[in-house]
This record gives sequence, C-alpha cells and structure tokens, in this order.
Amino acid sequence: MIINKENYELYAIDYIDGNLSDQEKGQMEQFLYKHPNIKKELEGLGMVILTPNKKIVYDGKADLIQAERRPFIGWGGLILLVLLISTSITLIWFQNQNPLISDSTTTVFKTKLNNLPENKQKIQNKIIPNKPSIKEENKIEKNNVIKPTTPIQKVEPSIIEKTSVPILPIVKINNTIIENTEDKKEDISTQNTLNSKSLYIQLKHLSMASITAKELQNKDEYIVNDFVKTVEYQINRNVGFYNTKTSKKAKSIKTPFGKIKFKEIAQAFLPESYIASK
Amino acid sequence: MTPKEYNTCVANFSDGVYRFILKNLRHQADAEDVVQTSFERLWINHTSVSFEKAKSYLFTIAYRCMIDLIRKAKRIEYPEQLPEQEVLNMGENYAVKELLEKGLKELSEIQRSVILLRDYEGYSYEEIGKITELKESQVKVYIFRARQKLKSYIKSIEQTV
Repeated sequence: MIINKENYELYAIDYIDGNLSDQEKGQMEQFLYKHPNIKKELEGLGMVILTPNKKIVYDGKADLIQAERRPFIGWGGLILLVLLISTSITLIWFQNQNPLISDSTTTVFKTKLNNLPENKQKIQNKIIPNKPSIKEENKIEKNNVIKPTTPIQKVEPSIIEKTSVPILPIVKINNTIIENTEDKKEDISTQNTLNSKSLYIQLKHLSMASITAKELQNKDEYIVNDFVKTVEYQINRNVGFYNTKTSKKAKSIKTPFGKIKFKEIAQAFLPESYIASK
Repeated sequence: MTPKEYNTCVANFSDGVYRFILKNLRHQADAEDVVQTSFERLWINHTSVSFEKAKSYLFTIAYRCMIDLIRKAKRIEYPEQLPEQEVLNMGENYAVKELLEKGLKELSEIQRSVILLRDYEGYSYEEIGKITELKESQVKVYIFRARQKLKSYIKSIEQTV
C-alpha cells in the first residue's frame, strides 16, 4: 500500500500512536517529507488528548441499584419440578394398581419387554390370580370354624385339678396364662412339636392324630431348652377334602427356659365329649 | 450476569457513561435520562449479557439513545460556558483542558463521540467501531480529524489572546 494524499489519514493516527509497522512508518515518513504542510498538521497532535474530569459523577446510582435476590429457578424450572412430582405420583399410583410392575427402576425396561410381540401375547394370556386379601381370608377362616356343640364353660383352675374331665378354659405355660378361645374347643386330638425357635402345639382332627389324647395325657412335662419367644398353637381341621389351618400366636413367654406341661395343655384343648367317650 | 455483577456495573461504569453523554449532549437532564435508560436495558437483559461485555453494552446503548435523542430533538445547542461544576473542578492544566473541552463543540457529533470514547474510556479503535457501528478505518479518520480540529481551535484561541 502506497501512502498518498487520499489515504494518509488512515495511517496518520497509527503513526502518531506509534502503531505502524517499520515498512509503513518508512512510507509515512517519505510521504511527509514530500508534503511538509501535512507534516506540520501532524505536529503536536499527540498532545491533543482529552482527559476526563473524574469529579463529574452520576448522582443517581442509588436508583439504579437492584436487589441482589437469590436466583429464582425460573418458570421453566418450576414447570419441570411440577412435572417431575406429578410423574412420580403417577408412577407410584400405577405401580400400586398394577402388580406386574413392582420396581420403578425397571419400569421402562419392563414396558419395553412387555411391548415385544411375543411377550404381549404371553401377558394377555397370563391370568392374574384374584388373591383375596388377608382380611378376606381371615373372614373366610372365621366362617369355617367349627363351632363347638357344647357351650363354653369357664371354670376355676382349682376345680380343673380336681375333676377327671378336664375342660380347662385357661392354660398355664411356664406361668404364662394363655386364654382359651373358641379355637381351643375343637374336636381334636393333640400333638406336640418342638422346634428350635418356637413351640408349636399342633392339634389335629382325630383321624389324623399321631398321638392320642390319652397318650398326651400321660406325658408329664417338656423342658424347653431354647429361647422360646412365642408359643403358638395350630389347629388343623379336616373337613371333607379341605384342610384349613388356624394359627394363633399365644402370649410371649418371658423366661427363655422353662417347663411346659403338655398334660395341662392337652386337657385344656380336649373337649369334654371326647374325654367322656374315652 | 448476576444482580451483584449488575450492581458492580452501576458502581464502575455509570460515571463514565454519564460523562460521555454529558460531553456530547451538554444537557444534564438528558444525559441522566440516557444513563437511566441504558442501565434499565442492561438490567432487563442482565441474564443474557456477560459481565465482561457489560461496559461495551452500556456504551453502545447509551450512544444509540443519544443519537436517537439528537435526531428527535435537534437541540444540540451548546452553552457558552461549561457547567459550573466542571469549571470548579479543573486541575493544573486548566487552560489547555478548558480549551479542549470548549473545542468539543467545534466537532461533529460523530467526531466528538469517537474521540471521547477513545480519550475518556480508552477504547480501542475496533471497540469504538462496534459501539458506533463504524469501520475501524473510519474511526481512525474521524479521530484524526477531530484532533486536527481541536488543535486548530486551540491555536486560533492562542492567536486571539
């Protein structure tokens, strides 16, 4: 680029500021040498610099200041949050409604699997068992209980010891009183079973009994050598082709070791009519 | 930019914007209005403007507001004397400074703007070009001519004296 009268102004400021390259500087000086009037124009321009008066200040700064609030998540963030919560609620509700999907973390995976054509058919064919709830089961069970033909008689323990026909309304196991209930009035024989964790007194229908009531009556006592936290009795009723079970937790035995008199238990469970017939 | 950074901008740049506009318009109330408008726009857009670019953004907005104001009002009528505050605050080089400040009225709008941005705020020619929407070469020429005019003004005053 050759510096001439038409374009020298472009280089003048850089020349004054000292920002030209060596080549440009040489060209500029050559040009100025040829045009002394322009050289005179440039002289002293470096001194013509305005300086700001720092004492001129804007007085309205206080009006411009804004409150430094905490950053708001914004409407987008808020909408996202609401969507997230509603999706979670829907998922939980859906899981409760559909037992096939139990784990939320595998929902997507399961959905994808279920959408496969071969699996779709399987799912459609699959019959979800209409299992009754525990409450309903208990209700059915209660209705199936065979009511004793003879009325329940409550007698004092002292009377029981004296009588030959043991109809005991209460049972003492290691000094823990187990209240008698309607279940204990079943027409049944008694069998004892002892496992490591808990004591089961299994009462069966006479035809199923492996230990007769008489044999049980002859047994003296059992020593429990394990931690027995609960005593349970289980009654199996054999009604036609159907076996139903009733299991009931008795009161806890506080002492881990103790003597349990099966004789007393058996007497407590054996109905009067059975004993009398024997 | 956070609200805190915006407030830093108010503290650091409001005086500069105000001086720049005041020197151009020579009208205190208008200059204050331009500053207010500039910061108002900065606040509205503070989430999208970075703190590093806030100063340029402010001067660009202020410059455009000022041009709009000039075009609408056409009232750039400079008072014969500098504002009282300015006269009182002059330092050692009172004579030269005063002459240079007075000489500003001899400049065209664009010459005045670019030389003020250069000398007051120390912007590069490229930055001045962005603010004023001019090419860098144009900025250089305008500044060169502005300095020439100021020099001539001072000389003429000296000769008169």
